Amino acid sequence: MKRFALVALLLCLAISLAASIWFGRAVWHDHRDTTAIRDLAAGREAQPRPDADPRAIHARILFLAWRDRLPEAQDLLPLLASMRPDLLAEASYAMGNARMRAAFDHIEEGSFEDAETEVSLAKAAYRDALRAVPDFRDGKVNLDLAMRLVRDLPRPEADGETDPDAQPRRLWTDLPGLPRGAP
Amino acid sequence: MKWLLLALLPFPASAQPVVTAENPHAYGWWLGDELVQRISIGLPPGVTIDPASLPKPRAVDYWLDLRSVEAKETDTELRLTLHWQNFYSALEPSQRDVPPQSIRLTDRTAIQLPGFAFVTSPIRPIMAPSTRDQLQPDPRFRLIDTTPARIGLGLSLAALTLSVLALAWHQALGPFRARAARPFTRAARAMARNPDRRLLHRALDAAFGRVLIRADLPLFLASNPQFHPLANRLKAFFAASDTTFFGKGKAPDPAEVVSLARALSRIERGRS
Repeated sequence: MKRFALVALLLCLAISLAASIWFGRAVWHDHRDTTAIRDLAAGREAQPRPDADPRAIHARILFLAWRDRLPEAQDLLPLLASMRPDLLAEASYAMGNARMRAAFDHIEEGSFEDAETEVSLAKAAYRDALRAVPDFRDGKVNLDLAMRLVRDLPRPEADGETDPDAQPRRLWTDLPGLPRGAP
Repeated sequence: MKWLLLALLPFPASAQPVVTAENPHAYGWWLGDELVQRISIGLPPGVTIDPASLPKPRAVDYWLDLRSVEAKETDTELRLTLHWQNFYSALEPSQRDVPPQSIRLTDRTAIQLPGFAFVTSPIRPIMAPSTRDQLQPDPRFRLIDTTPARIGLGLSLAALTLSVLALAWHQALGPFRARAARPFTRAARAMARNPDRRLLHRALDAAFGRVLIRADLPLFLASNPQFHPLANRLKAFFAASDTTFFGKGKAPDPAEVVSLARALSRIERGRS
């Protein structure tokens, strides 16, 4: 009986020690991530830890998108992909907004071709956001706005009826100057 | 001939499996909405779906995505769940037609999955300007709720403290070590205030385990050899105490008795 009590107590000790270490780590990580989020929200540069909480990465993407540092933000998006669809949707949406702001800048400067490119990229970003969360209302509104600036048009190639894999492939290319099987 | 015709009647030439579809509502959809179509197909015995012929998640059209296709197969039927997503930015309520898809069974029967139509409506007024100030704002930063981790840490630290204390109690370690009896120390402290030789006697009784008389002193010293250096002083103390008790002489010198008690206490606590 005494031996059983000793084993049980040692087990309790080991479990509670492991739990303390685990929760201590969690508190420390929470503290670091929260500090990073507060810094980013206040407009100060902060780099989240490599395996930071998705909300810290979300904050970093929002920070970068607002400052038009989109390539850096784009690199961070895959980190959110597998974890939190809601955060991924908001991050994609923030990048779409950055593209739209750039597009409006181009429109004001009169360079409409650049603006069209940016709007197309913004549409792709908003679509990604809606793919992650179909009910994301702000995303719907801004996608609608972007689509009214540059309408989606039916693609001449795809007839929309069939699976692309099921269509016969064109074996010969249309490149000029290539032999086509005859001398 | 008539009987032959009758016999053939219940067996049509090719048994086309029965396809029933539960289509999404026909009205009330917006840009970005997900439409779920459920289709069940009755399977002839021994026939299954050719998995390669299932429609693949893709952009079916510039305004329509097929997000995912789930297939659940039982012995008699196949249940397909198709998740579509509408990306048509309507300027007015507009009917869109989702095209039918075709799949194939293992007996090479081709089956058409029915398409459906739905009406999608604009999300903003037609006259709403498409300008910078119409953009919805950026999302807000999201803070982490640190309470669960803090509560967890508090609880696990409490559990850790409790189990350390319980283990120490169980193993009689640290504060839970039962105090060894220290009769001489207690007596020496009491005699500093009241130099009564009887206190020392009671301490000696306690250390011996029963009443210690002069005749038993060698026995006491044999079982407690650490007091051997004080053998002569103890003998003298007992002699003087006995003499006093039987009224044959003066009481022993209180200063000597107190000093003896202190000496015993020092040995008892391992100080000398």
